[in-house]
Parts: sequence; C-alpha cells; structure tokens
Amino acid sequence: MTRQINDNPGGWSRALPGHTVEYEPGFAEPFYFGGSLVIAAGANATYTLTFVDTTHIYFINMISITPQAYKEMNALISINDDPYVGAGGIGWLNIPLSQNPSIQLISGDHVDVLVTNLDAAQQTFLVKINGTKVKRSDTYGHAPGCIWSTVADVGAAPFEIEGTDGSTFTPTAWDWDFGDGSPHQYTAHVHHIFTTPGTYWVVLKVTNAYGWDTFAWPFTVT
Amino acid sequence: MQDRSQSKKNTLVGPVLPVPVSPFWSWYDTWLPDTVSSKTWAVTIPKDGMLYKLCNFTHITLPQGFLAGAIYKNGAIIWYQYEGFMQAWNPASEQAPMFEYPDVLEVTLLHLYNYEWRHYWQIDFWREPKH
Repeated sequence: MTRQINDNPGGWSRALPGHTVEYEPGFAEPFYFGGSLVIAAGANATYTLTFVDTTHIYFINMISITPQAYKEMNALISINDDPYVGAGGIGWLNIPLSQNPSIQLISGDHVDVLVTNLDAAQQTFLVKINGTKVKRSDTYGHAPGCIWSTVADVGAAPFEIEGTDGSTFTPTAWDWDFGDGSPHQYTAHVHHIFTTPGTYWVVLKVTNAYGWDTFAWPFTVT
Repeated sequence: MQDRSQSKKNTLVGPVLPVPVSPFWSWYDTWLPDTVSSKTWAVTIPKDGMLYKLCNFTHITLPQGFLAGAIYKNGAIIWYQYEGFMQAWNPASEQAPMFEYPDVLEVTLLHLYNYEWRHYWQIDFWREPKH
C-alpha cells in the first residue's frame, strides 16, 4: 500500500531563507523545566510545559523521564498537540529533540509529555526538559503551517477540482501551482479544471510576515 | 587575520543558528497484530520542491518487548535495528538522510510474538527548499 504524507503539523517558528537571528556573544542561555508525575499502575499522566516568555526562542535539547525505581514506561511527546515522538524503556528515557532544527518554541507554544506507567504499582516519574534559549527579535514569529483540503483527487477529464486553504497562523498570501502549466491562482479558495489525463501535483505555498510553507497533493485525471 | 576592532557591532549573526524554512513533517501509524508477522508502509515524497531530511524515527509497543524494523529508500535498506523496548534513530543534522520527489520511503516492522501488541511508529522530517 502506498500512502502519502498527509499530516503536516503546523505553526513552527522559523525564518525565511537568508533570514537570520541576531544574538549577543554568549547568547545561549541554558534553561531547565521539570516536574513530577505520580501515576497509578497501568495509568498515564501528562506533564505540560507552556512557553510564556515573549523575549526568547527556546531550543529543547533533551527530555528525560526517570521513574523512582527501575521500572518500565512509555512516553509520547507532543508539540502544540501534534505527536512528535513515542518512546519506551525501562529505568529511564532520554529523548533527544535537538537533532531537529525545526523545533524552535516561542510564547504560546506548549509541549506535552504523556507518560504511561507500565509497572504493577504506583510510581513517581520525574520529567525534565532542558535546552538553550536565545533572544527573540521582533520579526521572529510563527510562519504558517500549510495544509489544504479538496473534495476529490481522482476524476475523468475534464476534471474540476477545488482547493481550500486550512493553514495555521494566518497566511496573508496564497500561491497555487496546479502542475499543468496553467496560470497560478492567488486566493485561499480555488477551482481549477484539468483537461488532459495524467497525474498532477498541486502545490499551495502560503506566506505571512514570518515565513512560508508548502503542501503538495497529487491528482489523478483519467 | 580579522581585527575585532573592525567589527561594527559585537553581534553574531545567523548561520550558526539553524533556521529551516518549514515546520517538521511527521509520518506515523499504529499496528495491532496478534501473530508473528510483518507490515510495510510506503510513502512517495511529495513533489513540492522541498528536501525532506529524516531527523527522527521511533518505534515502541505496548506491552514492551523486542522489536525489529527496517527503513528503505527506493528499495535499498538504509537502517535496520533489533532492539528491546524501543527503536530509535536520531541522525544529527549533518548526517540526516535526504529525500526528494520521487523518492519512495518504506518502513517495515516485524511482530515477533503470537499475542496481541500495539505498535506505534513515527518518522519526523524537517524540510528545506531545494537550491
């Protein structure tokens, strides 16, 4: 079975190509947040970290989960309600997030650490989140996370398709490329007719003041 | 040699800090087999002018035990692991495998027991525009 990527967690802060972030020497200040969860046997609980500091960009280096004893656990890390990583282990879990430069958190973002206690007794789990933060400029914020929907993606020529933007973080400009050489369209909701059989990748690029994102989907015209 | 006194301001700018243009993409699923078996998932990288860099793969189960899985790029194996409790592959930025249209990425997992487990796996990418 072939499956397309159809999940596009949105809302990551990042910059336009060539856009830089200025910071003073010695810019990277460490941060640490942590707490404990008391979880009954077989149950789960969530530690939530919400960023409220408007003056810094936060880079998470590591999320560590340690039970009070050498016990089994599972964990699911979500960022702004989008699953990011599942982890399982015994004794401890160290989950490195620093390998993904897309993870840059600003005010309003939140990280959920869902811990499942797989032991036969209640346990206390210590959740630790550490990393570094840099000063955030006024021009650094959430670019849109692009996603759009359509009614049908397979049809006979002439096949009229519809695209509706559903991107996060309020795009201010839209650019639809229908992949068939036809003129682009620049509105949030579009209609287009494919007249020749084939497979066409339709790409929407959305932009706001902080950056841009794309989402592509194939249409099959018979 | 650069003379620090020539600097107009004592500020570092940029490329040291990774600034990918796009949010991460996730590809994930769950699987609930109850006999020894395998399953393969496949995805064609979208034709959107972007490079997809694999930065994270994880595979866990409930209950926990031994796990086996492999990742293929265009039919060639690029990663395999047999491990207890959790499978994880976290290539650093410089070593992240890159994919672009029309690459096909496949994930194959093995279920090693004759009783029911729930598998959960996930791959996360960051994306950058092709230059």
